[in-house]
Amino acid sequence: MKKFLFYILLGLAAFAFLYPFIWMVSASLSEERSITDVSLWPVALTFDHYIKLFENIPIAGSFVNSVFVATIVTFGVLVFSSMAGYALARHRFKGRNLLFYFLLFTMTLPFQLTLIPNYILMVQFGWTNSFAALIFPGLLNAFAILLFRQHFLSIPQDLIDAARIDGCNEWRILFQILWPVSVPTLITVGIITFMTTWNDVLWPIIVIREEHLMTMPQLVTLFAVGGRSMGQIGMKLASATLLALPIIIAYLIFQKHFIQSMAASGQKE
Amino acid sequence: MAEVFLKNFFKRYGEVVAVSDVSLHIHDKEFVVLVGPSGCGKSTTLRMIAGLEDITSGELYIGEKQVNEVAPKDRDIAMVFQNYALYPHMTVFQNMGFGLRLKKVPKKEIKERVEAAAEIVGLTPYLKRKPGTLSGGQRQRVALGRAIVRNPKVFLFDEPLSNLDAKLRVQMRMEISKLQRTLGVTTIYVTHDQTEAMSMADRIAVMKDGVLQQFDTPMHMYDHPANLFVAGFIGSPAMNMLPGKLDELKIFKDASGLFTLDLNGYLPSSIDAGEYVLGIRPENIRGDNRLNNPFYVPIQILADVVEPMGSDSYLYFKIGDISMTARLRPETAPQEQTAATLYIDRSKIHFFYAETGLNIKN
Ligand SMILES: Nc1ncnc2c1ncn2[C@@H]1O[C@H](COP(=O)(O)OP(=O)(O)OP(=O)(O)O)[C@@H](O)[C@H]1O
Ligand SMILES: [Mg+2]
Repeated sequence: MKKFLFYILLGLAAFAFLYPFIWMVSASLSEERSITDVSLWPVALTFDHYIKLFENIPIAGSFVNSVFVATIVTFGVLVFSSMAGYALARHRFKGRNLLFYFLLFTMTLPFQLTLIPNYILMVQFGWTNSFAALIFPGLLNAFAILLFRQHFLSIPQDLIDAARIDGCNEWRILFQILWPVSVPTLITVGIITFMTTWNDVLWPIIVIREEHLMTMPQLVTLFAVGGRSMGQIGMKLASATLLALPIIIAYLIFQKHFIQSMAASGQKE
Repeated sequence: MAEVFLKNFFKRYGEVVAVSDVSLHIHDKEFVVLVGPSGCGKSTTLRMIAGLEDITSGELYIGEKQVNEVAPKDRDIAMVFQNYALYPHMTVFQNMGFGLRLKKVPKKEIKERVEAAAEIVGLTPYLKRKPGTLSGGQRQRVALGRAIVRNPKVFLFDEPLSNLDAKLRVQMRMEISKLQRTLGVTTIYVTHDQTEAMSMADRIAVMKDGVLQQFDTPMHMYDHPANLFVAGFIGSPAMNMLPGKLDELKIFKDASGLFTLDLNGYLPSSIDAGEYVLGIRPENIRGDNRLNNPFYVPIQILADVVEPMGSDSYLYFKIGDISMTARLRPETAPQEQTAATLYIDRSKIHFFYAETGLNIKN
């Protein structure tokens, strides 16, 4: 009996979380004037909002931009952060600890603090209004380095020594020996990086002006809060739905790892 | 095949001196065991030979060649680790062939050499398996096979049997010894287990605090330990050690004054009176003296605990504050908590300077 109550409570909670989301999807498929309903089912089903959306803004292009940027950044973070993590975990060199503490310190800084300096840097490099501004600042990530370092510390030194005797150089050790035994960490870092990059709005808004270079969240945000949606809630909701879709699909594919990586981001592995 | 020559090896980690002035001249085809307590620098020495650690100072020769600056893969060595250190994502075959693949050895030759090595270590049926599906003993065989495949000049082992259970350890110990003899590869083997050292080595190098204590054949080391440390480390149960004084008449009296032993005629005549430590191996204390052996001296003791081991019984008793062990034939062992007479074989005693710990016979 107790269990039954418990499940009812859980069900209600789940509903409370899911409701706005389901409503968003169904409303985006309803006629504009019925959107104020709280219905969970589309009223007078229509794809008008989506069609108008595609006519009005280059949302498909922005989707491609987002995928492109997030993929490159994710791949870059995996490669470079694992390299840095490996060096910090397994190589002895002068200033290693200092470097590591410095890295930890940068993690405590709120990103708002570095926003302006970073922007000025992009201007100096002449990278504003280009993918370079979206990609390069994201390629190294203190948090990812930390995760890799901690993980590599847990791998027995013997494995690395054996590889070295077998004739591996540092590249091979990292990518051919350590990567294959670090799949969970790679997935964790990959998912977190991909999601953060995908969802980022503020930075793109600062460095990108031209519509054909915009990422999807940037475009959708500008569209939803700016005047372009002609005050039509339906179109705003349709754009929001499209924005959430890739993450939801990714979630369904990586469900198991997703939950692990969310837990991992809150604590040491 | 090759000699290995370590000349004045030093290893410092900042202030810590992990290895201090170790020199070893290891012959071709020899099986040398480095043994000592935890932290004495055995692994560090081995890793310097492998090229996994820099040699702070000193010279290393493998064969004729000085190899201080040669990369591990080019030193013609193979190493087996305590934790097996197999690549978990590769099959047994790939694990064994990985080094050859990196050397760009033709596929066909890799296959032949891996299969030959698998045959030697009895892994032929497992070549397609991943290490995760193998038992500890099998995994260490894979590591052994991986070492054999390389066809090296020198085998290096770092406590390869520590993770195995007692029975398997004895079996693998024999297999490794036999393998080393058949292949005739110079071998350096690290362990903290003196039984392993005694049973496998052609020569044993005992280390303590980074310093080489003695480098000798097992039997010679057992009979002539260079100092108190080696005397206590080699042999199980450990040698009994009684500190005390020797007078001009060569009568030894222990610290408590309760125990005296006439050593006239059993010590070099040149030895002075003074402070010494008397060492007696447990098997040199007997439970009877049926043959009236003139070397034997009776002593009266109170038997504390008797541990029957089957072939022998270990008898524990005290002389003053010092705990002693005797290794007796079971039928001569007294009852626990009874007074008994034991016999010390004076011809087999060891004698050390109390101050330096060195054997007087050095
Ligand atoms: N990277 C390092 N930095 C500082 N000190 C070290 C390092 N590696 C080893 N040492 C020190 O060097 C000494 C020798 O270590 P080593 O690993 O060679 O001992 P060992 O004889 O193999 O011991 P064990 O039986 O525990 O394996 C130890 O005191 C150890 O603390
Ligand atoms: Mg060690």
